[in-house]
Parts: sequence; C-alpha cells; structure tokens
Amino acid sequence: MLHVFLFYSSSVILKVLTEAAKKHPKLSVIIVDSRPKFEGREMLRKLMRSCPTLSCSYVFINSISYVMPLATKVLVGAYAVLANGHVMSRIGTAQVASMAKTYNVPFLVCCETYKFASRMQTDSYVSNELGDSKQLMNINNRAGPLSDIASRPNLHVLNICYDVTPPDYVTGLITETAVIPCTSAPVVIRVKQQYNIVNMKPYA
Amino acid sequence: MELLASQEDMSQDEALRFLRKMEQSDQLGSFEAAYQTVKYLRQKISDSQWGKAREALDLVKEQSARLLKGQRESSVGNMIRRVMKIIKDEHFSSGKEKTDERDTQESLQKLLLADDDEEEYNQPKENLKESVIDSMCELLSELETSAEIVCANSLEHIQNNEVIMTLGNSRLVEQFFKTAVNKKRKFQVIIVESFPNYRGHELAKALTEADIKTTVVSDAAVFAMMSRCNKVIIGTNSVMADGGLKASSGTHTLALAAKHYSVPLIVLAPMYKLTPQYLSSYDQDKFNQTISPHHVLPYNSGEIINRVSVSCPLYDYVPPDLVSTYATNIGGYAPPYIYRLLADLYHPDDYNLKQELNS
Repeated sequence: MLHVFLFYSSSVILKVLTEAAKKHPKLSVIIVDSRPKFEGREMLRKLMRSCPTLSCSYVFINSISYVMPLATKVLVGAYAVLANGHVMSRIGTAQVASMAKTYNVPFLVCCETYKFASRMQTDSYVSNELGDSKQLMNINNRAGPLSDIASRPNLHVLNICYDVTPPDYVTGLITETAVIPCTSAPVVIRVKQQYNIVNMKPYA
Repeated sequence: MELLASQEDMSQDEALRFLRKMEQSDQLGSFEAAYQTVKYLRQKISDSQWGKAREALDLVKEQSARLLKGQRESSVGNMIRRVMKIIKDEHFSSGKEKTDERDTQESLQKLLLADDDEEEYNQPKENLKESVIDSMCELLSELETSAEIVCANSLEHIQNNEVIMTLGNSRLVEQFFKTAVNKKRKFQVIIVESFPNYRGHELAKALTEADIKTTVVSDAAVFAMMSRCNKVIIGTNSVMADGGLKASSGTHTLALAAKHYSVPLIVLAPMYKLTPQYLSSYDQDKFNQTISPHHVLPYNSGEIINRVSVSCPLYDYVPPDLVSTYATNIGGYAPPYIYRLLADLYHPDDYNLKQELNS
C-alpha cells in the first residue's frame, strides 16, 4: 500500500493524484490542513469526487508527527520556486518538510516551470502576504477570547499566507520538463531567460 | 496523627472524587493532580493501622490501582512512586544512621549481591509512620513551592528585547512570563494558538492584561516565525526517562523549527512531571491519546465524512536531542542528565507501576 501525504489544495496535485489513483488502486492519501482557511477540506471533497476508490485520511497540521511515519512520500504544490532554491508555498509547508526530513520521507514539490522566479528570499518574514487577522481570532466561525483586540494595544494577530522551505528539506522538484533538485532552479531560470520566457526584473 | 487530621485535610474520599473529576476534564492540570494524590495517600497512610514498611507499601499499591485507573495525568503515577520511595527510604533510615549500602548510588555488584528487599520490608521499625508522614508533608510543600522556584529563574532565561515563542497555554509559562515582566524585563511573546483547544488565545489574553507585547500566530506559522525568535519556552505534560518530552501536539514541529534556526528550547518542568517511562517515537499508539475528531473535521461536513478517516492526537513525543534545557524546581538540567534525577527520585522497583499491579 502506498501512502502519500499531501499538504493543502493545489490543482496540480489534484491532477497528479487523479492520474495516480487510476493506476494504483491501493493508493491512499493523508491530507494535512491548517487554519484559518481549511483548504484541505476543499481538496478532500475534490479528491473524493474525482477518485472514488482513493482512501483518504485527514489531519490537522499539529498532528504531522503522528502521521508522518505512515507516509511513503510527501507531495506539495508551490506558489513559487525562488532563484536560491527555496520553495515558497502555502504557510505550513516548511513544517511538513522538516518533519518529512526527520522521518526520512521523500518530500516532492510539484511545480510547473512558469512558477520559477528570479527573486530571492531566505526566510518567510522578509516578504509575505498578510491575511485578515479576524480569520484567526474567530474560532469555528464564532468570536473567540481575542475578539476584543481593539481594546488591547499590546495584542497582535498575525495571519501570514506563505512560507519559504529551505532547499535542504526538498528531495526534488517535479516539473513538466524533468525531476530536478532545488539547486537547479537558477539553471531553469537562465535557460528560460535566454528564450525570453522569464521576466528579467527580479521584483516584477 | 492527631495533628494531621486537622480541618484543612480532606475527608475520606474527597480526594478520590477530585481525581475522578479530573479524569473527565483535562482542565485541572498536572499540579493539582500531583498535589491531590499526595494528600490523598497521606490521608490513607495516617488513617490506617500499620507497623511495617511492607504493609504501608501494600496500602499504597492498593490505592494506586484505584488512582491510576483510566488516569491521563502522569503526575499521579509519579507521586505514587515518590511516596513508595519515601516509605522505603524511611524504612532504611529510621532508627539508625543511613548506611552506604542503601545509598542511591548502588553499584551493580551490590545490587546483585543484595538480600531480598521483600524480606527486609517486613522488619518492624520504630516511629516509621511518623517519619513517613513527615516526609510526605515535605513532599507537599516541595510541590507547593515548585512553580515559584521555576519562575524565580525567569530573569536568567529572558533578557531585554527578546522575542520568545511559546505554544498553547501552560499556567507555569504564564507565571514565568509574568514574573519576568514584574521584574521590569521588556520582551515580546509569540504565541502559537494550539489547535484544537486554542489555549494560546487564553494565554494571549492573560499576557496582554499583564502588559506584555503579544503576537498570536496559527499552528502553521511556527517555522515562518521562528527566524525572528530568540528563545522558545514551553511547558510540557511530562518529561520522559530518556530526556524526551510528552507535550501537546505541535511541539515536535516547534522543536524541529527551533533546531533548524538554532533557537534554544527551554522546557519548564517541575519535578512532578518526571516520569520513568521510555518511549520510541515510532510507538505512537502506546502513549498517545486521540480525542473526538469533530474539532478537525466537523460532523456536518457532508458526504465526505463517510469516506475519510480523521484523527486528532493530543500529544507529541519530542526526542531529547531537540531540547536544550529543562528548567526545574531543583535547577537547570540538560536532557542527558534526566536518568540521574530519575534514580534520585524513584526506586527502580517502582518504575513500572502498572506491571506490578497486574502481577
């Protein structure tokens, strides 16, 4: 039995798994989800619709230590692959990657080469997208203990959307051209630049 | 004994009722569990008629079967072991000077050649009951002051302008931060909210009321925020015999992120949390507990519920190499030293309480 462990909703991953489920009837997946968006639930719905035979498990991100020993590989999508080989992806991916490394589970990133970017970033804090902090303050769509945040000048609720996974946690990038290591990201970018496919400006 | 049967002492089964109550909700915490266990055992020991150490040990064993039944809090078992150790120690020290032979640093050879302890405990000793009860009162006062002593070291761990990450809500961590801020330290705390109980929100509320700058992040943002932290300070459910941790789920991830960014991980662990259990991280099911999965996936999520398996474990095992320091009420220790503390606090025969009870 093959256990694939995947994190967050991604159209590429959905297609990959739908294909794989046709060829491997015994495939099973573990979906990891996080707050506040719970995108994994959407992924779960889509997967069940597209692959009726697939057996699915679903856990929250703080239980990854519990389920990681069951996984044979981890598949994630990406938001961008940066020029220094770091993978920018949905918040929580770096945690899953470090746990995969601990249990020696291959961590594979499925990513089309148009997502390769010529900018660089070594940690998630430098540049990121901020989500609505209200989403984090609400608990199960109800106001939590922090709903009176306006009256608490010392309190901040930070809802960042992406994180950057260091290349040493990534086993390989699966692209439409080949399976490559993260360190080859600049090569892909250079080749694409030669054919004017990639925008030259680093912060376009 | 007349002294002990004073007003503040619990009535016969009040402590047991308390422990049953605790079994049903995990809100009361390991301190209360430890404290009430010792109080309860002290009551039993002072109320019963016994003259030999063997009889006292049997009494404790009989009670521990009731106390441990379905017990989630490991501090209950730890305190039973401490009480058994007290009885054994008092038995050997009462009436005579403590000899080297019975020292805790027994050599392997001495252990091999030693007479059967079972026989030894049948020897009647003078004033054994009094000294056992005295030692148990000392244990109670040790428990009472443990949090205070751990927190007294807060200035050693928290410097000005530091950013400290913590996970969930431990009352001890809250007290630790408050002690530091009362001593005029200025620092920032990043709190990981800790699904599914969102205890982090409660801690955030308490810390902002104490005028500490607080940031709440989701469980997924641990790795992202770790690059900005100077220290990680957490509480734990128990400290395992190998120096590892049994802590609320998400702690393993937190510890790995701290390791990645070389951020020291300080665990606040009063000694009643030290348990002689060994665990391997691949043996999750034996020590973990899973709670109702409706927190993870609500029952009203529609048809997907029928085909998905959902789990919601309560604990993580954190291996000892990820922990930098334990801040305990008897000093700061590194994980490799934990085995020594274990030998000091418990008698090796009592490590496996359940096995003894079953036999």
